[in-house]
Amino acid sequence: MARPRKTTSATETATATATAAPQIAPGLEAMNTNETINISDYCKAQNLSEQSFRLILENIRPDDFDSVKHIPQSDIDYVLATLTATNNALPIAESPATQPIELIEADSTIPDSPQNSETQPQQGLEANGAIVANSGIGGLTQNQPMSQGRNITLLDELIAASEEEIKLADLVSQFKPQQIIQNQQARDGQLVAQLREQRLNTREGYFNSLRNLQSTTIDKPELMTDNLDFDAEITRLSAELGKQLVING
Amino acid sequence: MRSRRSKSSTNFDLFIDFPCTKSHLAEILGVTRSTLISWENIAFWRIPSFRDSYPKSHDGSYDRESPLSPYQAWVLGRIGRLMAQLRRSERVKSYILKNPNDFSRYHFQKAQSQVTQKLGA
Repeated sequence: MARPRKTTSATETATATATAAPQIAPGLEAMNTNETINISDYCKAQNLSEQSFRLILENIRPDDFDSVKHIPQSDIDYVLATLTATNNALPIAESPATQPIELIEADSTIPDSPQNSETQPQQGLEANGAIVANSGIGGLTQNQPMSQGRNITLLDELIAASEEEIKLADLVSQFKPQQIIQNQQARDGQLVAQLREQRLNTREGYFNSLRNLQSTTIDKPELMTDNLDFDAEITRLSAELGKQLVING
Repeated sequence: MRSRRSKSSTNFDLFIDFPCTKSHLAEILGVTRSTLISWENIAFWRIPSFRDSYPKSHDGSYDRESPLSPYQAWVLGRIGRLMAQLRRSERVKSYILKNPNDFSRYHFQKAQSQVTQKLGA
């Protein structure tokens, strides 16, 4: 019994905090923006799921969305805006609420008769079938439409999953040969480049060896021509010497 | 930080073939239940496939009281190992953020099939 009391007090405080905020004087608006609100209390007060609240909070506070306890009003505004946008995007919100009322009205206006009692569930089924077709989720108030809705969502989900899988498999089968051909071409290119490099290296090696050979070549000395008459030269030299000897002597 | 009852229990991946309560899993992993709860808290908020493994309540929220599936037990074992290696939950969180595929259901199924093949061979 103690827990509900705690909950109500927390609810009251949170509501008080939430409602008290707009009543703050204009001069204190800056202080108001710095005020923080307890997430747990706020969710209880607004009848929101804290899990979904925190999961939306992940978008703006990725570091501490799971552990933070107090957040500023601006963050709460963001989460509420996202929540309402999500709820508006889902067509389920209105249809189950309105449909049973219409059925109840139809029940109250049409007197009970065997024909009506037989036709009414059919109408209800058709109506809910329309809801199911529109929303894909189905009503929550009646058992049969709910199971019907579940089947359809399951079927839709299965169809969507298979379509997605087929598309992905198609993509894989489409891109795999392309990738293989591309890889083969790339490999060919690599081999060609390797061969060409090897050829250039070999050629360069030969050129180098040729250059080395050229540098090691020894110049052939030019042979002097020996066109002198040996005997005549000796006699000439002897004569010169003799003459000199004669002169000097 | 309180030391673990068993320091080697998270050295290897954990594969169970039955739904397991948190208390039982804590016993298997050699940690206290509160430690396991803190690991579960990390996994719940940071790993979407772990979160989606819980059944949903009527209001769309996840029923975290329900027993853990074999996949969830595997994830918690891996988080326990990371905690042993990295020491701080902030580091574990950033690791999960950077390597989400390490905890994917696909990764789990692949690892499990490898183990099963080895056992069956």
